[in-house]
Amino acid sequence: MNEIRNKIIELFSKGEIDVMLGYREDATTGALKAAVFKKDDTLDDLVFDERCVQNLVNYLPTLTARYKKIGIMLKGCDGRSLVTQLVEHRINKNQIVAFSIACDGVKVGGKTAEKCDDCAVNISPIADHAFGKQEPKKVPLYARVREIEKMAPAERWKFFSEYFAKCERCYACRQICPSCYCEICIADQQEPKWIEPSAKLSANTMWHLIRAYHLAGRCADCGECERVCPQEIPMRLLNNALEKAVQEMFKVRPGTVPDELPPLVVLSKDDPDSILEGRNE
Amino acid sequence: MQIEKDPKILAILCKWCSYAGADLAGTSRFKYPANIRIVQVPCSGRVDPVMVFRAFVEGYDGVMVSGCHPGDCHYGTGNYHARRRLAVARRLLEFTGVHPDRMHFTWISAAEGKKFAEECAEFTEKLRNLSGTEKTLAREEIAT
Repeated sequence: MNEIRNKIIELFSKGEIDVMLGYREDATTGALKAAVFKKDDTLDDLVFDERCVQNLVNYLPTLTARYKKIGIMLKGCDGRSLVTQLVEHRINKNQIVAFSIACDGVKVGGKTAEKCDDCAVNISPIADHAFGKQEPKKVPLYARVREIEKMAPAERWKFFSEYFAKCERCYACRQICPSCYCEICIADQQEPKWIEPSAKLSANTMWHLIRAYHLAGRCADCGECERVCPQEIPMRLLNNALEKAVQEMFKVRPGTVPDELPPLVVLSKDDPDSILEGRNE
Repeated sequence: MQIEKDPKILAILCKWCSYAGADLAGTSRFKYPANIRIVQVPCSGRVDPVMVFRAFVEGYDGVMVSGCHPGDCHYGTGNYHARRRLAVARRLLEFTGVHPDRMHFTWISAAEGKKFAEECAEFTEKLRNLSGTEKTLAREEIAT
């Protein structure tokens, strides 16, 4: 930790960063919150431990508009998230100084977060300064997705419809997602109105399908949508299912390869027609 | 008397090939089932998967999307984009529980009136066989 603090102080004094985006403990709740540190602020309350659940990349577009150089603390998943933002030119890499910090998994409510169980990228793909011992893990990917895929279609619908029916349409999942940044979201659009705003099963289904589809090939699996959901809808399942589909069909894993456009933005004349026939397993 | 409910199919066809193909099927007097409702779009690249999702939510039994054959797109590359998008959309719908047979994505050229008629008949038949399986994503509020 002191190593990180010293590096930050060094970069501040050299003028290489204007602000540092990190985590600070909230005095009342004890939870960790995103915090912006400036040059003369004390770094004593800068924290990095297993409570650092939040994805800080979400704050970057606001900060890059205000400051020239921003340092940011990145876990592996946040790093992937940053890559997808850079690829879409939402953030300019010249403005970012990435502190990649080895992450041993984060804890939500005392338990290791589910996303960490099947995390294979516990180091950020982008790093200007790296801290801690960083080794990629080997885990079976998409285990939960495979379980669902084994079910019959009707069972799958039963599984998901129970969750979709509970959705309150608070759009917390949208607000927290670094990749959901349309100025007018399709869910707010009035003409044509693709998704009804009321919280009922059919409209909720539309919302969750569209949310997942729009993140296909872009979602970096930071798991924030699922964390903030008041009804605990398993949105990571949908995201992961599409990540798996995209990986199988287009051989791209979002957020792992810098400088590669999202697979649904580019086209390939060599895609086989068989992909239109669905899953071949 | 029991009324047999016919499957309702939404066909989204591109203006330059598939719609013309459907037209040819009509002028050539090929017979095909009347359960198809056609929506014409300028190009299969115009087909936002949102349209497909909405069709299922609105209660259609099946959705068919068709455009020009790869390489023949009037606008050059629209159908390559469509292929990627629809492939992903199909996987998402399958994952959430729509039966794979309820979606049919194909290429039909303006000269393939016969193929259009055949594919419609085949798709309708597939959906009839499915009638026993539970319908999903339907507009009616399913009690949970």
